[in-house]
Amino acid sequence: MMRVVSLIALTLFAASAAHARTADALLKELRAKMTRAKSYTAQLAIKVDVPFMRVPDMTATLKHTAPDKTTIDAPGFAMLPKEGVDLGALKLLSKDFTAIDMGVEKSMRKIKVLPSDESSDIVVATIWVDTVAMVARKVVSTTKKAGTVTIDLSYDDAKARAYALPSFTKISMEMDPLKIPKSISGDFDGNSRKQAAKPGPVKAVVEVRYSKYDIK
Amino acid sequence: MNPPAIAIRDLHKSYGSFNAVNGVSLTVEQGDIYGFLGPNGAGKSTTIRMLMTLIRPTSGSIKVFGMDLATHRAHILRRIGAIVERPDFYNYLSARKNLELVGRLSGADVSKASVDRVLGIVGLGHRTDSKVKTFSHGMKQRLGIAQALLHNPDLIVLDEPTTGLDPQGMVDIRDLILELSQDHRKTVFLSSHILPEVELTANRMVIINRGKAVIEGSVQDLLNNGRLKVTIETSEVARAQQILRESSVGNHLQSVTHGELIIMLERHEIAGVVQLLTSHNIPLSAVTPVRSLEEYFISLTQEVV
Amino acid sequence: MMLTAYRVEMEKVFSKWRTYIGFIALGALVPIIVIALGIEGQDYLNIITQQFGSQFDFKGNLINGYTVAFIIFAALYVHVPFLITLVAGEVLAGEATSGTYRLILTRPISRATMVTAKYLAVVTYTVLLVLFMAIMSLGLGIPILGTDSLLVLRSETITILAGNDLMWRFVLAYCFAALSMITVASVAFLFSSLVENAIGPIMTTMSIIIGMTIISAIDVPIFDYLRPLFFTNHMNGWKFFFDVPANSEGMTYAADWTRVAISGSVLLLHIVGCFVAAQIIIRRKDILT
Repeated sequence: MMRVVSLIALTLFAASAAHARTADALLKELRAKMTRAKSYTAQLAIKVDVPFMRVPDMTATLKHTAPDKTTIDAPGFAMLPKEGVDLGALKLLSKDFTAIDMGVEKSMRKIKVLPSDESSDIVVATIWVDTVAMVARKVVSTTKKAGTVTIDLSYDDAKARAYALPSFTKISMEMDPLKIPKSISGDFDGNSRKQAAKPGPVKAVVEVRYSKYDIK
Repeated sequence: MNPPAIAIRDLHKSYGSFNAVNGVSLTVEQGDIYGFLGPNGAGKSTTIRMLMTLIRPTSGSIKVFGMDLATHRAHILRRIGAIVERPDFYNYLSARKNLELVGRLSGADVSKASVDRVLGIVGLGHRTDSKVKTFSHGMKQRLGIAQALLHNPDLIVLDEPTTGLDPQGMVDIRDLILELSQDHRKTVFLSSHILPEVELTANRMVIINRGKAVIEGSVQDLLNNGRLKVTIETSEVARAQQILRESSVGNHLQSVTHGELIIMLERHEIAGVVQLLTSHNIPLSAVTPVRSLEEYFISLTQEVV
Repeated sequence: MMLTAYRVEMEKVFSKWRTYIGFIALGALVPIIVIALGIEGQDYLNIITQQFGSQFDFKGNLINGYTVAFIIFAALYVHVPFLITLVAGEVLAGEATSGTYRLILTRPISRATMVTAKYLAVVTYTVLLVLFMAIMSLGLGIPILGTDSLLVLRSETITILAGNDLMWRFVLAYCFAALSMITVASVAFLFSSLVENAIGPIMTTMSIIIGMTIISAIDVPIFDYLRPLFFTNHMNGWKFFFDVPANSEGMTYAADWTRVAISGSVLLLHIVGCFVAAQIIIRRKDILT
């Protein structure tokens, strides 16, 4: 009897071990795809939607050089989310991590990633991987500084998709309401109690379109 | 027939229950030097301000050169040059600049030559570019006359024009007034407290008191009415004094000094007094009747009081 | 005659030293502010970048000529009215004080013409002062600090306006500022017609502006009903050219036109009302000085 139980436990453990390796291998395969390009540039069109901000649409140029040098230049003013524009959430794949398979959700493998480096800003991230196209479709990161950041990715450019480079990302995060002292804003028009923002964080959304990829 | 330079009829100005001008009427013919006299508070300045449209009359009419002041204001003021009370200017500007600015508003020739000419007439030719704040009162008075003359007006209204001037200055202004009238055929409306000045320049005058015109006429005629101041020079002053005291005119004896008596007599009484004294063998060296406008003025205003 | 009278009044206004106080003050202050912000302006921006610095990176030159011009605009706006009242409050009352009403009102010029000429001279001075502020702010700020987007801080909103969408906003804002300052000048002009000493209109006008500004700043419900009636409230209408309403399609050429129109109309009403009232007062006035 004990031998049967032990055999079943060993089989389950082996199956589990085999599954965990699969998630880890999946992410490493994704990372390998992304790092195939020695360098690439892309034009960015950035649209910021924050309830208390009116920001014009912005443009910028993203330059990436393997292994991990990324710069973003803008001709004028640009307001760029710290997480997501340079696919930073996926940067964590280039360092040591522990992958936990969370199963399949909406035809995608849901994998939780725990960075091994305690100094990493990302505490934990969840990646939804499209195993057919071998791209990440969604990343939810919990960061120390920026809170929870959700990144939805689309890949309409076939050539870029071959390197797991997106054509569109939608970055969502929560932000605290704006508080500017009246002595700075000079806003003495009154009715501040009526106009007082609803308490609590607000949702900010940044949409980035990537175009004119030049991949080398 | 030329219309009068100024025709004021039944002019009134009230401030609440106080009547500053209470029915003044006067006529200034063209070419007159017209004396406008009255004690302090009589209503002279108020009348002049109404003439110059600084104050709105309560009732009455003012016509200048036959035109109604209320309806022809701009046209009339183009023909009037005036000093109203103390002459004030823009102290931060020079004499020349002051004249240029106000002259332009009157449509005057404000060329350098024209301004220099007028400043020369009033004796300020050496101070044309000095700021008015450096001027004495007398100099401002002269400048006031200059701005009144700059646009060559037909009627000149002068309110106390010799105030603050030295004796030579007074003579200069008096001569200027006479020259303007006689040589340039200007009409001069002259308000003054310096009665000898009016006596020496005006040909017609009005005396007002408490907002009303008391008397109006030619200066000469007015001087011949009422009592004259008669100076009697004699070597027997004491006896003459005694005789006059006992006569009907004794109350009008003014003063007795060594060698002369002064007595106020009506014109027709002079002959009688001379006869009285000579009949008593009082030797008379001189009998000199003098009509003082100042005394006439004071007597009139006291009678009205 | 109006043109002659206007030229005479302009000569008088610009012959007085007090007329140049405003130009000298702005001429000294603006360069100091431009240079100071250029050197240490980043600290000014930290108040906003610190709030979002954990989530956003800011790129570009936010301390630029437009930002500095905007900051100068907002800072000096409160103080320029005093410079305006120095001239506008004296233009009529000063004639009474110096006795020169008698000099000018005995000329063949109607009182209406005289009042209008003086008013136009005051308006000209006001417009020139605002124009000077504009030229100094933008004329120094842009060459020294360049151009880029403008960060507009309100208590509960931030608006970022693209650099190529700014010049027209500044032009209209300065035009509105001129309208606001003409309103101040008109109020001082009206008070100047009432009295015979220039100090009164200057102090009264400034007291009204300060009082209204203080009441507007105090957040008390009862003042909510008073605020829309205060012309000082509407003087800040220049800020609406840097506001993009939430319902705007895009940001380029967008502004809060409705509020601009409302505030502009209120100011115009004040201007017309004060001017007409001053006319009536002077026409009926007995000149006793």
